[in-house]
Formats: sequence, structure tokens, C-alpha cells
Amino acid sequence: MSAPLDELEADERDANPDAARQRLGIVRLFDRAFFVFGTIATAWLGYLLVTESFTRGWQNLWFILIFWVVLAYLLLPRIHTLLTVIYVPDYFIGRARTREGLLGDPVNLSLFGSAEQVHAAMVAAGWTRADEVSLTSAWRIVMSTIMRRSYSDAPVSPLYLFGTIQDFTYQQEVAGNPAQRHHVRFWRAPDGWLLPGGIPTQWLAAGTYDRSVGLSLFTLQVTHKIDADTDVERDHIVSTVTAANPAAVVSVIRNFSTGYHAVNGGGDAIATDGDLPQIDLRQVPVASSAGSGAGAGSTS
Amino acid sequence: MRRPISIYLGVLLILLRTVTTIVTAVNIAFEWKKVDIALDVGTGADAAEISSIVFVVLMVFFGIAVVIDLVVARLIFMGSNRARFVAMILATILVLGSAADFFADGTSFTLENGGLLGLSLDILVLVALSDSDARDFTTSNSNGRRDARRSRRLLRRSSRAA
Repeated sequence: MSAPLDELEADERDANPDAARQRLGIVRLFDRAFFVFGTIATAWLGYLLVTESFTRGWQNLWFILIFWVVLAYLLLPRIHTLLTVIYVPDYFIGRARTREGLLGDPVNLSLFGSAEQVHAAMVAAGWTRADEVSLTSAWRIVMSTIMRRSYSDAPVSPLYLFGTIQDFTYQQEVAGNPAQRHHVRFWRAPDGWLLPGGIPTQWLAAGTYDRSVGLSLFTLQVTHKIDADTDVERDHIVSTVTAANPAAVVSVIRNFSTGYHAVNGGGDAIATDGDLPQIDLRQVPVASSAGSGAGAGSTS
Repeated sequence: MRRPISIYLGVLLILLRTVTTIVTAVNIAFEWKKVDIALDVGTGADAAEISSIVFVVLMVFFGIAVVIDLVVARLIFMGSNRARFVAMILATILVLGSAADFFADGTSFTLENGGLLGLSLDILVLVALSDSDARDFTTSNSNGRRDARRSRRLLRRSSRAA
């Protein structure tokens, strides 16, 4: 995989692009070596923690908890990161990927329109924008859990499509239940990019319904389990958006992904009829204040 | 680019390691009379003088370690890729040293003797700083500064030409 030129240092990029790219390649090579060594070291730490917890006996069972944290949040994700580079294809297969490269939620919506039009349509349809994952939002999650307050704009976990994290996420809270929520992640498709079959698109979205909190099958991390029938959530998004936005036009690509019988990045089953609705929002009027209700636009 | 959580964690862990270094140094300083060091220097040597020299050297060594850690932590926080590599190389050397102790000499790392804590900190520093987020932050950030410097230079040149 060659490095994109814009990541290189400007002076070198102008003077000698090949040398600059080579230099970045060396940095990446060393980085990968440190990554692999860090993974081996973490495995050793896990072994030390297990033997330590055995010698401490049943009175110190809390020590197992530390071992689980190291296992689930350091060791297993790293092993998956190293392995998925090898065996998970890095092109569009109708699925988002987790940070570790595991297959995540199915892409089940396609949209046309500007970012402002998407924001306007979603806000009008009664969806709220999820906060970005940051220290502030992490603190708010902790506080809202302790104080038993609702945090309707809680961030969702990052998923990747086209190698980038979701541009933004909208969600709907389920009254009185923090374990359940509707949510849909949006990615802007690269300019001129076509869906399989040569069908144009501007935005791709993955809508799923969190039905409970559980442990991920692959990393053992605490995560939301999604509802297996992703079509219900897809149709819910389409119906709320079209009901609130008369200017939205919906067409459906039949059998776009017929025959998904798979699991997502947390090990949940997914089933779908394979239809991909395309929502055209290009006629949706954008009021000057429509975007502000959805929080600040992403400038990263 | 916004500072990723792995950078915060890496810097925090380096600072924690600095704290453990300082605690170790203070412990040794207070218990210096009880520290037992065997040196082969013959019988004519002044034991008290050698003792104080060793003490000073040891404290200077701890001081240097603390200063290096603090400088490296600061630079990583500012987005230096070189400082990140220095920290990862140091952590790798420390982990390899611990591994040699463990596999060759059978040194045990437990909570009681503090070995497990130190080793965990070294490994976690390595894990946090070798994260792809951390790499992207330090490589893109130094580019940003380089770009800023370059545009300033161009601006100066163009204003001189005008």
C-alpha cells in the first residue's frame, strides 16, 4: 500500500517525492515492528497477570478483572489488527469495519445531497446527532451512568468505511433504556465512486438497532448487541425521513446484498433481504439554522 | 488533527513512570544506610567516601531519567514523532531487560516487589505510543508545523519581492 502524498512533509514532497515516500515507509516499518513487539509484550504481561492471580488465590479475585481489561482492550484487539490486515479484504463489500479491521454493521442505505441537506433531513425526522468520542463525551457517559441521567447524544463506537471513520452519526433514544437505541452512521463516498454494478451514490449509511449491552465475541469488550433483523431499522430510517421530508425521493436497489447471513464486529447475527434504498435529498430545502441544531459541523 | 486518546494515555503513563522513579529515588535516599552494595575496591579504600560517591552518582542517574522522561512526554504531547520513537525505544529496552531477567535469571515480577507495576507501565507506554492513532497524530502534526514554516517563508519572500 503506497502512502498518500498529502501525508508527506511539504518541503520533501516538492523536492523529491520518491525519497519522501520512502522515508514515510521506513517510519511505518519501524512503527509496525514496535506494534508487533508491543503485542508480544502484552501477551507476556497477560501471562504474568494470570500466574499472579493464581498465586493470590480466591481472596483476590478482583485481579482477574485487571487481566480481562488487558486481554479485551489491549491484547485481543492487537492480534485482530495484525490478522485482519491479512485476511479481510480492504475494498467495499457492503460492510463497515471496526477499528481492529473486523467486519462491522452492514451498509444498508445510500443517499444523495449535501451534508447540510442530510443534517436537515435527519433533524427534521426526529433524530439527534451523536457526539464525537472525546474526553468530554467519555466523562459525560461516566457521569450520566453514575447519576442515572439520560445522555441522548452519547457517542457511538467508531466504524470504518473507505478507510475512514464515520463522518457523523444520528440516533434516537429509546425511552428510559440506555441499553437500547436506534443509530445510523454516515460516510461520504469518494467523488466519482460507484456502488457495485456502477450505481452512483454520495453518502452511504449503516443503520442498526442496539438491543442490549453484552460482550463482544471477538474481543470480549463490553459493547452493544445489535438486532439481527437490520431491515427493520433500515425501513424505520427511510420511513421517518420520508415522512418528515416531502421533498425526499426514495428508490430501491433490489437484491443489492441478498444473502447476508453473517455476524457483525461484535459477533452478532445479521439477516437482510438485501434491498438498498437510495434516498435523494437534493431537493430538501436547507434552512439557515437547520445545521446548528445538529451540533457543530465536523471540521477535522 | 485532534490529539487522540492514545497520546494522552502514553504521556500519562510516562508521567506515572516518572513518579515511580522519584518514589524509588526517595526510598533509596532515606534508606541509604541500609542499602548493601558489594564493591571490589581493596581494603585501603575509604568506605564512607565511596558510599557518598555512589549515592551522588545514583541520584544524578535518577535525576537524568526523570528529566528525560519529562522532556520526552512534553515533546510527544506537542506532536513530535522523534520523541515518540525515543520513548518507544526506551520502553523496548526496559521490557527486553525485564524479559532477560525473567527468562534467564528467574526474577519474579509480582505486585509485592513492585516489579509488575514497573513492567506494566513500560509495556503500556509501548502499546499506547505504537497505536496507529498516535502515529497519525505525530506524523501529521510535524507536517503541519513544517507547512506553517514553509508558508511563512514564502510569505516573507513574496513581500520582499513586492
